[in-house]
Amino acid sequence: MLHGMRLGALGLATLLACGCSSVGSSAVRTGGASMPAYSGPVGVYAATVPTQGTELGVVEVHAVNSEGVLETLVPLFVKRVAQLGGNAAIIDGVRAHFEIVAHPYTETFTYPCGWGAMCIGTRVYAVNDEVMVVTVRGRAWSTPGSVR
Amino acid sequence: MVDAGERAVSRAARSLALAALGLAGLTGCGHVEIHELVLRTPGAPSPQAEIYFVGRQPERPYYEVALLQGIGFGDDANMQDVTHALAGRAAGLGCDALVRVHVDQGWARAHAFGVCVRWSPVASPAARPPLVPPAAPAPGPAPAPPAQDESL
Repeated sequence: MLHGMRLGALGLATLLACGCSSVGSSAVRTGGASMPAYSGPVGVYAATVPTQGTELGVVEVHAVNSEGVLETLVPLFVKRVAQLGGNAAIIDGVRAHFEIVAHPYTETFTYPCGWGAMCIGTRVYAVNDEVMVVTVRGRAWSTPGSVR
Repeated sequence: MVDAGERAVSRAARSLALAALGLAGLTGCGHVEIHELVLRTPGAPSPQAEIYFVGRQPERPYYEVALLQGIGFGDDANMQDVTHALAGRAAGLGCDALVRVHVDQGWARAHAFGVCVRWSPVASPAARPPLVPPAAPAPGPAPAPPAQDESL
């Protein structure tokens, strides 16, 4: 029992230490063009696209709930575009999907248990939470005429 | 004995729930959280921003000013409230329209995304103000506007 509690505490400490961010990303190089990583400023396009340029790859970034916001996701998207060698980040869409996730919820309560004593009870039950996963998808482009 | 305790907890929970319900009825239990990424310096607020959902485009040229994201909670977790909140913010940023609007509906939340744009006097990018570096991975001057853009 004590051993189990120690293990649980260790697990919780590890969880807190690592932070466990929900932010994730992918970048896939496409086509034949291969460029070194780009270190300059990257232009962001969400409603227009440059007519000149080369597509270097596709990029996706995602996060859950409070981390799934533009302020978190777009800088990472831009970073992944630059890693592919792109100087233009074209956002094709920002979408969310929702999932219902059940997790155990522990509740402690007290109750009188005779001779003026109070007892403590614990009950565990499942709680359903809605999780929002926000995804930004788009492409990395290399365009002429920028500060490259 | 446990039953009595549980009944007491249940009574307390019911009272709390009723109080929360009453408070919700008085205050309106919902809000929309707006997140934005400004690409160009916003202008003076405009009276209204036209709304264009994905699949429909304005018939005039435009340029991007900001990316807007709205998350509706509670009573505001619906397409109408999140879209109007985004359009209101777009007008506040001086945008003429909100384009490429898309709404995803959850059970207790709604998510909306749109691009806040201003009409471009001509299709030429020279008429557009320069980009504000939004989230450059490395410091440097703002990129020049692209040679020529076309609407998606």
